Amino acid sequence: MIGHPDPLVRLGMRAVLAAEQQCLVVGDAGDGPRMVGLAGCLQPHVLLVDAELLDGRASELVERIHQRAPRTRLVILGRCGDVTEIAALAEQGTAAFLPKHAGAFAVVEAVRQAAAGRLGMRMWLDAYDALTPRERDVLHLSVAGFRVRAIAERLCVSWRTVAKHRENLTAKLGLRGQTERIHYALRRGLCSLGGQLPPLSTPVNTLASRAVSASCNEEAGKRAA
Amino acid sequence: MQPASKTTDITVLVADGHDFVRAGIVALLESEADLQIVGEAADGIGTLRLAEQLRPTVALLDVMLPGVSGLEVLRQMPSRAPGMRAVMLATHDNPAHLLEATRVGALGYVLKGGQPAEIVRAVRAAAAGRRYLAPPLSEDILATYAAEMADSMPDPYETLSAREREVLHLTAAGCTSAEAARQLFISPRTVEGHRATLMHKLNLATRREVVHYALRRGICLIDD
Repeated sequence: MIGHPDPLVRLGMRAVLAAEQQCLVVGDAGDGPRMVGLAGCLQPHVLLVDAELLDGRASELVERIHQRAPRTRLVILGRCGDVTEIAALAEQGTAAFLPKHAGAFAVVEAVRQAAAGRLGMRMWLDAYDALTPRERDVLHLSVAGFRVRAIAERLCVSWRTVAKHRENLTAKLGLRGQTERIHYALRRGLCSLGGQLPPLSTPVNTLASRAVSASCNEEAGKRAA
Repeated sequence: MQPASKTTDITVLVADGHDFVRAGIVALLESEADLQIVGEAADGIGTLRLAEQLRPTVALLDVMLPGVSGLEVLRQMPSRAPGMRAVMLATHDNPAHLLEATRVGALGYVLKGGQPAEIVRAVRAAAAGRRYLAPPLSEDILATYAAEMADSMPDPYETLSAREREVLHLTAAGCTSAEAARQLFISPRTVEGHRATLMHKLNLATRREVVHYALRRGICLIDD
């Protein structure tokens, strides 16, 4: 069974899962209460649910699903921000967890694994935890725009040490290069998109960044909203 | 590609980076007798290539296609696949994207969270050469926003060449020079040259500023 707020995605999930052997989509729901009710009626083996439907009360909803459909296993699609509460569920072995925009292949595999009773999948949660405090410092400073030498100065270590830390943390997080580090940091909420500038940048850059931020779409979006 | 069964068939190219959204659109359009899906693409470069090859009547383009964005694909349509009509698919009702899309030639604009039937309606309208903005969007919203933006400062993005825009999009998406070069069929040195020029035009000094510019300008998303 499928729970997702977006009708187009529900349709797509149905189409993808229906093409899989041993998979039968028995129903779908676009909101939390309907999903809980329907799961109670249908008793699906697996409920593939978008975290948006759990809407901040994940443990409560999951509890209710378990009461009504005790044998149903959950595969939750969520974003990094949702992780804390849902991560706890994954750790208890209550649910499997995948990033929101995971590809069809990964989701089908997670559904199969869940049906076979293998849950507790946790992605990119551990990677950040596995960093040493020093590696975290280097990551934060690096994505804030500090160059290797500036980081070295600030942390009172040699630039070679910084370069090594950066290499190690990048490998641990499975990233390649500065662009991916920045994307990762933004996604994890380690830095923000706001107008704040790397403290070491020149006044010329300051002006340029302001001009960009004034004409950018995000601002325009806010104004319209 | 199989030949069109009837000459009146509307051929459609579906371009969206998310597997389930793409599968949903395909399932939706396949159930319509007059619509025929001729190709699917998951990123911008693939979309341009398929559009050139397949010459569909209508392309359904995600505004935020990975790599080269849907809006950039749209800008290049007149030279790559002239005569093709475009319907944009957006996650958010960002009026800046709506305005840019209609300015560079999109006929339809549909929000993904809305009624799926709106997509079918927009595709048929585009095939007939009519503009269609799915609710809650409207010509009023577009006109109001266009008037608001009329006297804002010119966008330096407009000064970039098509190649420079492609390099910008790929760089912001995390491609190295070598990877971007492979995708664009040019040499890494040429990519680096384009990147230097575009960074100069946009007054950006570092890779970090390029990524931030791209995110603020709505060229790429922080995808998770």
